[in-house]
Formats: sequence, structure tokens, C-alpha cells
Amino acid sequence: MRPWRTRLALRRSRVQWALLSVVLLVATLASTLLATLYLLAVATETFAARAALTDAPAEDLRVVVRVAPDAPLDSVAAASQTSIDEYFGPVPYSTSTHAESALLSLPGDDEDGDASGDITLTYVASMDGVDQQIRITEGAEPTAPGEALVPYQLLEAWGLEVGDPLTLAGVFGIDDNPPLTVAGAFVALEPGTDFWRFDRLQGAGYDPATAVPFSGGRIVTDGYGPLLTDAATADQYRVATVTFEYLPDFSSTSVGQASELVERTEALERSAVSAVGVTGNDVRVTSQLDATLGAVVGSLAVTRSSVLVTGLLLLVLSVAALAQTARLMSERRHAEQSLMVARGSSGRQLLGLALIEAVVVSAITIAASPLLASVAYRALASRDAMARAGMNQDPGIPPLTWAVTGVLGVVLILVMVAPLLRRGASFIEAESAQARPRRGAAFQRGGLDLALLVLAGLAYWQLRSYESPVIADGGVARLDPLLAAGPALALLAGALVAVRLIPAASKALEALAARGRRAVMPLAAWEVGRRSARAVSAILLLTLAISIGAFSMAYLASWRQSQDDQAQYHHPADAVVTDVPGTALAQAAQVSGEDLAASAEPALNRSSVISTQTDLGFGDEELTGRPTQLVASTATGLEVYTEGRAGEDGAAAIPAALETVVPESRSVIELPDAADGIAMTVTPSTSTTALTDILVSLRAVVTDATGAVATLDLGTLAVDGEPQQVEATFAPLEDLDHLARPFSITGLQSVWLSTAGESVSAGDISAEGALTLRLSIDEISALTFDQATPVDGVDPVFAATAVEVDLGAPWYASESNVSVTSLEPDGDQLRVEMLTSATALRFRPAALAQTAQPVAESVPIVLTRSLATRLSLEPGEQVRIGLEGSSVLATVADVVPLLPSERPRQEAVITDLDALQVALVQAGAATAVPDAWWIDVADDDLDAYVGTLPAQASVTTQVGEATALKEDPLRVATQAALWLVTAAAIVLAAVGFAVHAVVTVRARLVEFAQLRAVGLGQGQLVRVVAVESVLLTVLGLAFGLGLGVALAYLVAPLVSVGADGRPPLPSVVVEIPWTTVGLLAVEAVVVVMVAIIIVAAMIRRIRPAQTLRSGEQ
Amino acid sequence: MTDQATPMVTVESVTRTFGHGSGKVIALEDVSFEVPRGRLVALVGRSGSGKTSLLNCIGGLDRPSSGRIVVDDVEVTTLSERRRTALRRDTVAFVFQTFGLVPMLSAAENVGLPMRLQTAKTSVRERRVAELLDLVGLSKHKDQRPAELSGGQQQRVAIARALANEPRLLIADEPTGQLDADTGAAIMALLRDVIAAEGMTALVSTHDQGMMDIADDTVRLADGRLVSADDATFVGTGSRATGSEHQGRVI
Repeated sequence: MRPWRTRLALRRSRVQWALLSVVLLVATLASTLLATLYLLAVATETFAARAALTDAPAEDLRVVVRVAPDAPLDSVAAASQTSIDEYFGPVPYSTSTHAESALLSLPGDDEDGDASGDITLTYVASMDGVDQQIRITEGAEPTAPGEALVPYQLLEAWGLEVGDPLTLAGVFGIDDNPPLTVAGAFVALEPGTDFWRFDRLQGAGYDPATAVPFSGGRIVTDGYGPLLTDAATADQYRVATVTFEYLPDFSSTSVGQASELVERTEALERSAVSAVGVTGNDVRVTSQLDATLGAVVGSLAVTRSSVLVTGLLLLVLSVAALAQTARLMSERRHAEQSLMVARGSSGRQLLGLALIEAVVVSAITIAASPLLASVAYRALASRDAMARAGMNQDPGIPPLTWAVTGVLGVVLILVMVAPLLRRGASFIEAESAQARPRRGAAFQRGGLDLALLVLAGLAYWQLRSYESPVIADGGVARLDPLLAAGPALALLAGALVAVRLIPAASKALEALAARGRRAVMPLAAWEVGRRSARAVSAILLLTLAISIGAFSMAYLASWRQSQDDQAQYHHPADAVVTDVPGTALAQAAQVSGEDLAASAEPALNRSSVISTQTDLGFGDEELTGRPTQLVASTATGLEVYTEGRAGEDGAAAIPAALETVVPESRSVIELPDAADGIAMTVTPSTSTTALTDILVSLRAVVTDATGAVATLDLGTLAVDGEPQQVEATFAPLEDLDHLARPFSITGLQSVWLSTAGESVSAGDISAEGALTLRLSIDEISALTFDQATPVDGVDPVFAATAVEVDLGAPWYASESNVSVTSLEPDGDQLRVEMLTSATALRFRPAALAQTAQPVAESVPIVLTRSLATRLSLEPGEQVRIGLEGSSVLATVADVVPLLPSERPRQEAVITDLDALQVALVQAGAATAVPDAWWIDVADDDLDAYVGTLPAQASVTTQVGEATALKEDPLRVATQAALWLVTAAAIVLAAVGFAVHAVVTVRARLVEFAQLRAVGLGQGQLVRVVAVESVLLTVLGLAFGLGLGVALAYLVAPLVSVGADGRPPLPSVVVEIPWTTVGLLAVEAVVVVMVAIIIVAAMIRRIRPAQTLRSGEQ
Repeated sequence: MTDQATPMVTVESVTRTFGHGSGKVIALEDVSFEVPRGRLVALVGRSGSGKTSLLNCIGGLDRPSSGRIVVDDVEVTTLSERRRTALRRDTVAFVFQTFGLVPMLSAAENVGLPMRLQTAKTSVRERRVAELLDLVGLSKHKDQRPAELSGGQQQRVAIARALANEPRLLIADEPTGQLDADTGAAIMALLRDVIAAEGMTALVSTHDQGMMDIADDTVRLADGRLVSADDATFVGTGSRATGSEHQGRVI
């Protein structure tokens, strides 16, 4: 480096410090904004990804290895851990073990003696962390091997005391187990919760209907458990299953490590089975971790794509701002450089001088920007949404940040020296070119803008083909940088095409203005039209800034609207309540919401089976067919499909197709308003006394005031000809107040079965031929709870009120494996006689359903297109739907493209729940207990409504889903990036325009002085410059808004992808936030006004005489 | 009504200084003279003698530090900025050494610019522009921009522009300073012809002997002081001409 050159550069910098400061300001600003965007992406990758994984529920993260051990527990645990160590690699994890013995019998009777002669079952278990989940009601924790904590119910029922020995035998007395000592009793703090999921009794401690092993579930007895011991003690009993739960800790895990885990998942099951299989049987490995990690990695890819898309837009804007500033600087130095050339400076010397200057400015920019970006990021991250997403942490300055600013620094050097790299023209040629600059810029003459347009078209076509910049690569969503570059290319191409239009537009303006008599407009139009390079750079910057701002705001508004639409699509009901305990009627009472909800409709959402084989073969109880999702709700519930985008996109056809005219029902047995339950005397009998093993299960069908149909289990009775009293309440005591009264009895179901089954030989049955089954029902009464409030420990007291039965015509009957011979009451209130055969009964139960509703031929259903296509079904065709151990005939009423739900593309059947319930009853099955309740509730009442629900219930809301979609840690960066880019567009446009106005005025001071000399007033001169600025702004706004809006319509739907990287459902509808976009235009106008004020002040300071003199010199 | 007897320009004891303290520069010191109407007066002096400062003060582009200047019966020194702009637009016209044309405008547009400032009718403006370009011999070059014209042609355009509003006083600051001798002579001839044709008063600063020869009067400046005047009326008190050059009338 020649010292003179450095000295000259320094001297020039001292003299032209203001100009260089402006270049430095623009460069630092652009570089800082880009670096901030990069820090945002980095923070998302670290903080947000960790937050998402740390906040994920344990069930989505844990890996569960379950095995029936053949070896000591220690060996099994070690084998399992080997494979898990391999799987998790560097990710730390915690282990929890649950070992549980097979069922054991407790010899002897309980204190009540009501189980006399019956077997009582229990089991031993060792559970890590159980001490945090129980309350010891008596005694203390086991301190020595062989001690156990027992459920308090066992202690009470068996009259045990602390220190008593418990002898445990095998169910059939074949095991010889060491006795346990009772150390104390416990009660689970939260039975039924996730902790107790591996426990046989789910933490309840007692189940009176524990199925006896090898009885096929038909024999039940009292069951108590677990008997909590340490692992070594449990190991002495026959451990039936041991479950290892491994919970990873992602608080310090990188996204790369998470991605590697996803890739290793496939091998996990194989390696675990291989390693653990030598120590036991039936090894099962279950985990949602790969799906969870895949979702996180996918979401990150989606966010990365948004950040990259916006980052590239920002890069384009930054380069444009830098190029404009550098061009202005070059223009200012035109005379100086011409003079230097005239005095003998070579091009290389000028280049060297410019290079020194550019490198210094660039170095300052590169050094300062990451530090400023760190401050800017922290300011951005302190916003509420960012803080909630865990982003309010200092990401530091990752090394790549310097690379990002370095790239911009190189760009800065290039744009600063580029004017000197042009092919050398003589001084005269340069002057001549200044006199009549070409209207088309160099890139236009070279056709670069058209080439870019073609390239952008190709990128857009590719983007449209893929429908997203995120592509699935081996099951993991991955960002395609080329596709993500599409919008930036489109923006640049659009802006350059707009630039091509500027000369034409300015020429028209010029022609228009020149016609007038005055000077101001023509002078302004001539300046804009004829100094097109100067005008173009200002208009290009403004066009880019406005279009990026408008596009970003439209993208953000569309993205947010899309999240709301997706939430509504995933979650058609305002609120969905699940995990409500109890029967359908009890659930209805619990979710009624005390008038806070406009409606609460039951819904089924479960796996079922669909078969195109509509005729059931002999003996077929379980339908075999294609598994499919079944969704059902009432007519009111299904109305949710008519709302919003779900309805617009075809789901409105669902309620329309399922709306059927229900034939008039026959008379029902009306119950008084106060009825809380029913009671009746039932006498089941057969035509022979030889068959003593026949049981009849009875269910009453009741309908509440809303028309909801439910079956009430009246119990299983021995068919012995003896009158038996049966009763049932509609709901538990605490829910009785909320039932939809009055109720009516609308049907009766009886299922007759022979417990002897096929194992009984024909010789054991005396009556091989026809067998008459008879059911007489009398003394039907309504039960009314007789106490003001239920009292713990006191059995409820009900008052019975006789109910009159006058059905007129008997109920409709549908039978299976039996023929109804008489429905005449014959002195009873209800009576039915049926004919079957003992042989038939041995193979299959006989079922009769009597309902007030006519027997439906088939239930109308709607299929999703995917299911209809797979089964080649068309509307009008019949299928059979399997549910509740039974099946109903259904007719395809319509086919819809998708089912608005969490998995809209799934194969699903949708039907009317009331029609389905009646069909189930008529098929001899119990009514289905709702899986969920769809609640219509105002947003304002939502919290209050949730407060009325039982503690076990889970609630998801459309609003909550929308909020979660928008504020998910992994997605909040998208919004932050868009806001940042909009702010950047505003700032860069403002600074760029102000710089343009000031520098161009400074460059024209002599010209202005000359104009003043010929009689142009100060005010007129200000008006000339103001009109020039307005013309530039009008053109910039017109092109910018047009381009931004066009880009939003073309590109926003393609880059607003769903959380999984696929096009969202429903499709994105572009929202142009006109108010915000209007504010952008206002901002441009304000910038222009400020620029005009600055320029006016400069013009007022012009002293024509001095300026002309200095200009001449 | 203008009294033909009153001078077009009266300069009385004009002093113009720039800067303060030790950096103070006296550009003009106590200069007084008069320029009768219809005369072509040459303002002569070396570079730095104060010619441009004097012309700028007379034309209302600058204000003297002291003294009084009257142009066409209007005291320029007391005028507001707005009135001085009006003076330059309607009464005085400048021709600069560097031509002072607006680079982005064609020859015709440059010539028509002063008329736009007077909001003359488009038809009147176009006719006048055509006449003036014809007068300066540039009708064929009306669409060319300054940088596409030779120096002489540019100065012709500048003269045509100066004449556009039919000013009463033409101020030309070394109009041939950037031209070769032949072109300068041609420009001087043109100036003389158009001044005669338009019947205006002209004050032309020059080093050019040719110009001095064709001028009606000559005013000489040296170091900001008036040293002599030919037929122009010498009004100096402090600035006195010396020797035979001083032929002015002392008031």
C-alpha cells in the first residue's frame, strides 16, 4: 500500500466526513438488521427448540420399554439401559422403573364376609417415585425387605393391622411365595393420572370387578393393589411385567442432536428387542419421541423458511440501500475524480483510493453490526410474545454472525468501488453521458432484469409445484433454500420490471408538465424524467421498501389469519371437553356449564371399523374391515362444520347430508320431572328348568329432555323365574342437579347368554329343541333422591314413585339370534316372549332391543374422500360400521374432501350421534359413551365455563389452539422476523430517501444558484424539490404497493405453511391489512415531508453569488 | 414611466467585504459610478479586482456591505429577497462566464425558462424562444442539451436566455472567459448586436480588448477600487481614477 494513497484517503475522509458518515450509517443499519435476523434464527434454533422440547408433555418425550422378564430385574434393567444409552447418545435422561407381579390370591375372607368362598386378588409392585404420589394413611414406608404398603381399602376390608403378615398365593394356589409384612396403608393422591398408567388398577387401590385370570373376563371378583415394596422384594414374586420409562432432558440439546435422535429411532426398537430379549419375553418399545422431535425439527424448518424468506428480502433491500448510497457518493465525487483523471491519476490509483476507503468503512460496519444486532435482538426478545416463548435470553454473538455482516461488508466494498470498475470513458464522453443519460439503466440494457424475471418465474413455478419451501426429506421436514429464495427473486424481478416502467412514466409526466406555463412542475418533472439514474435509485429503494413492508404485513396478517383458520379447522367447536368421567348422562350433567355454555353436544371421536361386507356371517360378533376414525355428534353439534373456513371448504355438506327425517316415535314411559333413576321388578324365565346357566343382561333405554339417548345398565340376572328388583340412577348423586329433565324410558334391551358356552356338551342340556325366553317387567317406578345433600358414609336414600305404563302399541323390536313371539303385557307392565334354541344360545347370545324409535334401516354417514376412494364407495352405497362390540348398517350420504379436525386428511366416517345411538341400541349394544363434548361458549365466558368442569376433564379451545399456533416458541420467530423486516424497510426507506434528497440537493447547489440568478424564487425552488420528491414518492408508492400486494397474493399462500411444513388446511386466504399498509404509505409521506423540510432549510441557506463563484472555481 | 435621463445603474459608495477579523477581505471599497441607459459598459480589471462582486451586487445576487445601488430607479440594496428575485426575473439578466445553463434542459427549454418564471403564455413563449434562437443562430440546435453544444453555442444560448424576458439591464460576467479568441469576438459582436437590437443597457465585465473597443464606456477596477471610467459617469469620492483614464464626471 502506498503511503501517499493512505494519506490522501485519510485527508479526503476528513474533508468528506459527512458523506462517509452517511454511507457508514446506511451500511451499519443494513448490516445490523440482517445480523439481528440471523440472531433471531439462532435463538429459535436453540432457545425456542429447547423450550418446545422442555415444555412438551412427558408422554410425548418418554421412551417406554416393557418386558415380561425371565431374568432378575437388575439384568433386565442393564440390558434395557444398554440399548437406550446407544439411542440417546449425548442426551441425558432419567429412568423410572415399574415392576408388577402377576395377580396373586389373598386366601381367606374379608371382614364383611360377602366374598365368602370367592377368590380375592392382589399384586405386588415396585414403583420408582411412588412416595411422591401417595399419602400414607397408616403405618410408615417399608424400611426392610419383605415389607409392603397396602391400599387402605385392603386394610379396612381385611381388618389388617400394621405388622400383620400377608400370605400371597398364586391364583390357583400353585405358587409358593414368601409372606409380606404390612408396613402401612396408602391412598393414591391422584389416581388415574399419568403416574398410575402402568398400574393394573390405575391407582384406585380397589376394583370389585377384577377379572379372574383365565375366566375370559366373565368371572370377576375383588381386586386390591398394588402392594408396594422395594424392587428386590418385588423380584421375589413372579414379576409379570417390568416397565422402564426413560425421560430425556433436552434443556441443553442442540437441534442437530435432536435430528440425529429422529434418525436413530428406527433402530431403537430393533436394538432394544435384541438387547432386552435375552432377559425376557414380549419386549415392547413405545415412544412418541420421534414424532415429537420430528414435529419440532419440522416446525424449525418452517420457521427457518420464514426467516430465510424475510432475510433474503431484507438482503435485497439492504443491497439496494447500499447501492443507492454508494451511487450518490460516486455522483458527488464525479467532478473530483474527473479532475484527478485530468491531472494524470490512473484508474488503478483511483480504485486503490476507493478501496482503502471502502475497506475501512466495511471493517467498521463488520465490527459494529454484530454488537448492535445483539442489542437489537435483546430489545426484540423483550416483547411479551417472545418472552413467553423463552426467547428472552442472550444468544451471544455466534461466530456466523460475523460471517453474515462480513458478507454485507464485501457487498459494501463492491458497491463502493463498482463505479470505478466501469469501462473507462473519456472525460468528454462522461460529460456527454451526464448531459443526456440513457433512460434505461445498465442492467436493463443488458437484459438482466428480464433474465431475473425469467428466473423468478421458474422459482415461483417450482414453489407452486412443491406448494411450500419446506420439503419432507426422509420423514424430516427440511428447508429448500432455492425455493425459499423464490419470493426474494420475485421481489427483485418485480422491482426491476417496475424500474423499466419508470422512464415511461416519467416521460409522460414530463410531457404533461412541459405543456404548462409555469416553471415549478416542468423543472421537477424534467429532473425526475431526465436524471433517470438518480430517480431510479430513489424509486427502486422506495419500491423495494414499500413492497417489502406491504408484503411482510400481508404475509403476517395472512399467516395469523391462517393460524386462526387452522385452529377453527382443527378444532371446529369453541371448546372440546374430554376425559369427563361417568356415563353419557353423568357427563352431560358435568359439562352443562350452568348456563355459561350455549350448548354442550356429545361427540364420538374414536377408532372404528368400516366394512363393505354388509351381511354379517353366522357367529360374527366382531366386524372385520378397515380401521377408520369415527366422528359423530348431534345435529346441533354437527352445525360446527357449517362455520368459518371449514364450512366454506366443503364441511358444511356434513350436517346437510346427515339431516334426516326421523319417523315418529311410539309412546314412551314418561317419568316425573323429579326422577333421578328408575327401578322395576324383573322376572326372567325360560320354558325349561333344565338350563340353569342362562343369564340375562338388562339395559333400560332412557332419553333426556334434549333427546339424548342412553342405556342404563340394570344388571345381569340369573334366568330362574324369580322376580328380581333392579334399579339404576341416571347419574351419580353429585351430578343429579344438572340433568336435562324430564326423562322418559324409551326402550329396553335384554341380552341372553349361556355361561356354559360351547364347552357344555349337548348331552347336558335336556331341551335340545325350541327354547322360549320370557321377560316380565312390572312395578316400574321413578326413584327420587330423598336427601338434601349427600352425606359421606351414608347410603343414599331414594323414594320410589310408581310409574304408569300405557304404551298403546308395543315398542319396535329388533332381535338377534331370537324371534319375538309375543309383546303382549299380559298383566305385567311390559312383557316379551321370544323363541330361540339352546344350541343357538350356546354359540351366540340372543339379543332383543325394544325401542320407541322405529327400527332404522341404516344410519346415514358421510365419508372423507380418502376413505371413499380407498373403498371405492359412492353416495347411496351401504357399509357396516363396527362399534361398541357391535355393528350398524350405514348408507353413504355424501363424500367430503376433508374432515375438519386435528388430522383433516385422515380417513374418517362422520355420522349423526343420535341416529347412531338408536341404531346401536337396536343392534343390542350399549349406547356409546361420548369421547368428547363440543361446547358452544362465548370467548368471554370460557374461563368461567372451564371452572365448572370436573378436575379430571381436559379442555381444549379453539382460541387456545389459535394462540398456541401463533405463540408456539418455534413459530413466534416468524412474526418477529416479519415485524423486523417491516421495521427495517421503514428505517432503510426513510434513511435512504433522506440521504437521496440531501445528497442530490447538495450535488445541485450550483444549478440551484443559477436558477436563482435567472429569477427562480426560494419558495419556487423548494417547491421544485418538493414536487420532485412527491413524484418519486408517488411512483415508489405505486410500484411498491402494487408489487407488495401482487407478491402477497402470489407468494404468501405458498410460504405460509402449516406447522408440518405442508400447505395448511384450510388453504391460506391472503389478507391485506390495508390500515397497516396505509400507515406504510403515510410513513413514506412523512419521510418525504421531513426530507423536504431539511432540503428547504438547505435551499434557504444558498447564497447564489457565493455558490456561483465557488461553482465556477 | 421611466425617465430616460436617469441612469440605469447608480452605484454609490459601495463596499463589499467578506469574512471577519484577520480573514476579512475587501472585495469592493467605496465604489461609485453611474451607467446611463442604453449604453454598453465594459467593466475591466484583473482577476480579483472585484468585478464579479460588483456585478452580483448590481444584479441583486448579493448585497453590498455598505453603499447604495439603484437599478432602473429601484434601490436594490434595500429590497427584500423576494423583490430582488423579481428584479432578476423582470429587469436584470445575467450571462455567466460558465454559461449557467440547466444541464438537463435543451437549448429551447433553457431559453424559455425565464418566461416560465413570468408565466408567459405558452404560444408567446414558444414564439419568443424561436426568435431568440434564430437571433443567436441556434435554431437548428434547439433540442440539444448544453453539454452537447460547444462553448460558444452554450454562451449564445445563455445570451438568448438572458434576452428572453426583455430585461432592461444585461449583466455579463466575463462572457468570453471560457472561449477562444475568435469565438469570444463573435460572442462580443453578438452581444453588441442584440443589445442594440433590444435597446437595453449592458454591463459586461471582461479582459477582452475587443470588448473594450466596442463598449460605449469602460469602467476600471483595481483591488476593489474604481480606478477610471470613460463615458460612464464617475461618482467616486474615495475611489478615484488616476491619469488620463479618468474621464468621468465628478459629482
